[in-house]
Amino acid sequence: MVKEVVLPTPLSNEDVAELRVGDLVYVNGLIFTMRDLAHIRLSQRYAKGEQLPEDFTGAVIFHAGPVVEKQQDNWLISVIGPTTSMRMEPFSDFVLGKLAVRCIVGKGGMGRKTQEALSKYCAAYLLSPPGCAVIQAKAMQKVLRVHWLDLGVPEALWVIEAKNWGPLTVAMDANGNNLFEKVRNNALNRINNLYG
Amino acid sequence: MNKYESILTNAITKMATELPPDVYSALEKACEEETKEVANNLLKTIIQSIKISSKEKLPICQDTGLISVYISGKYVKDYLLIKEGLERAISKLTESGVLRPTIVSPIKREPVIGNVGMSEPEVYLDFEGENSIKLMMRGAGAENYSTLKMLLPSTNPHEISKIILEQVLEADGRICPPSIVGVAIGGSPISAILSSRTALFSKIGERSKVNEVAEWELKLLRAINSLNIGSMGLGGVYTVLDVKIRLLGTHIAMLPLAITFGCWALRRIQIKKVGNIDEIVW
Repeated sequence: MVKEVVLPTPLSNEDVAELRVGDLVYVNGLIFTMRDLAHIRLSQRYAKGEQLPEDFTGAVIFHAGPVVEKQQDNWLISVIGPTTSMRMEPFSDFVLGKLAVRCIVGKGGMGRKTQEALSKYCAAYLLSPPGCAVIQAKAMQKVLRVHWLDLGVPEALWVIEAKNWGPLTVAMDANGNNLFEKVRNNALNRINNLYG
Repeated sequence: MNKYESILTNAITKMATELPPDVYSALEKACEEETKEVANNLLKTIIQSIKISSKEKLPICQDTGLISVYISGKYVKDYLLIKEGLERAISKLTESGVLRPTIVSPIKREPVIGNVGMSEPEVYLDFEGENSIKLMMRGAGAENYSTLKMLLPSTNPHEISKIILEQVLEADGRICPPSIVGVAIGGSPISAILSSRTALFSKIGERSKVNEVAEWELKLLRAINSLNIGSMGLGGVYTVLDVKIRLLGTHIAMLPLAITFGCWALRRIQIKKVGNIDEIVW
């Protein structure tokens, strides 16, 4: 039986501790997009002790770069979807430990470093439907702010009000469970059986 | 006005917002047949998302990627005109929000304004091919797992198959499966990669004209789908929609193997002469 969970942001540790792989999550509230360059800039500023543009405590971050339209003073997100999360693997300890982000949303799963950090800091990794960019844009109600547009539109840090964003599948949880691992191990065995 | 700008604008818009009918049908079939719940749910969302994109004229995927263009036959003589029209079309479509400003400089990672500049878009010429301008949109999810391996010439087909399967597993759910796999064996490093990519222009289900190769394609298709990676990387019977293999003459001391993945949102289109008129066809 699949469990469906509605989560308001910012998340509490209790919310995240109860999530189990396979659960379907719907997110309400403020979320941040963050990809390669935003991770680099945030970690550099943090290391220098500079002030960060947002408070990420309990945050949900989305590995994504939107297509946006500017309408007068407002930004409109026309399409948005996940990018490959594995590229952000080197930053998992910083994002979960130092920034206290509680959910990472992206595509394709992450590695061992992230799995360890998820358990250590009580956080979860969620999968968003890859490529389904118009459907997800409909859940992005409003762009509240954007930082660092000098990095380019996709790489900037977008602060968005999300409404009923989901279903997002919990693929890695705070208890060390990982949906990808079993699938990968079985596939590897199958290759060795076929072509060993 | 450049005579190619308007048709290229229309072709790129169509490519970004609609899926080729053969790819769409293959996804529908996968959705009907997928037994794993999580994969089936994703396929349903994919179908729904494609329908909305095409209706609202919005990109199917936010990653509108690198645009590559293959000019062949009689169109080659118009190369400069086509290139100029292409650059204007891409630049304007980026401004109007049909294309994401995706291109950056490689080291400083600074935006290349309008997605035009620093050798982008990529244009390839083929004087001898059929009269067409083919276009493909290459998203980074799939492109990052495309690869070239210079194998030992003694590597046998069994071993080559294994390497291909290992690469599919390496790519996993990150290339937005169900994907389409283009494989080129032989040639040079350049021709192998190019051929593994242009193989993706061949329609889903279209088999190699060489019987032996066609059989190998089907065998690989079945083997990959038996890995149970699935449309999200969380299990499922559809990991790939099709496999294309191209064989190229190569050096006695070489055996290049190139693999190019197409994500489920395989965005490709072409312009062809119908009578005297340029038309957009799938």
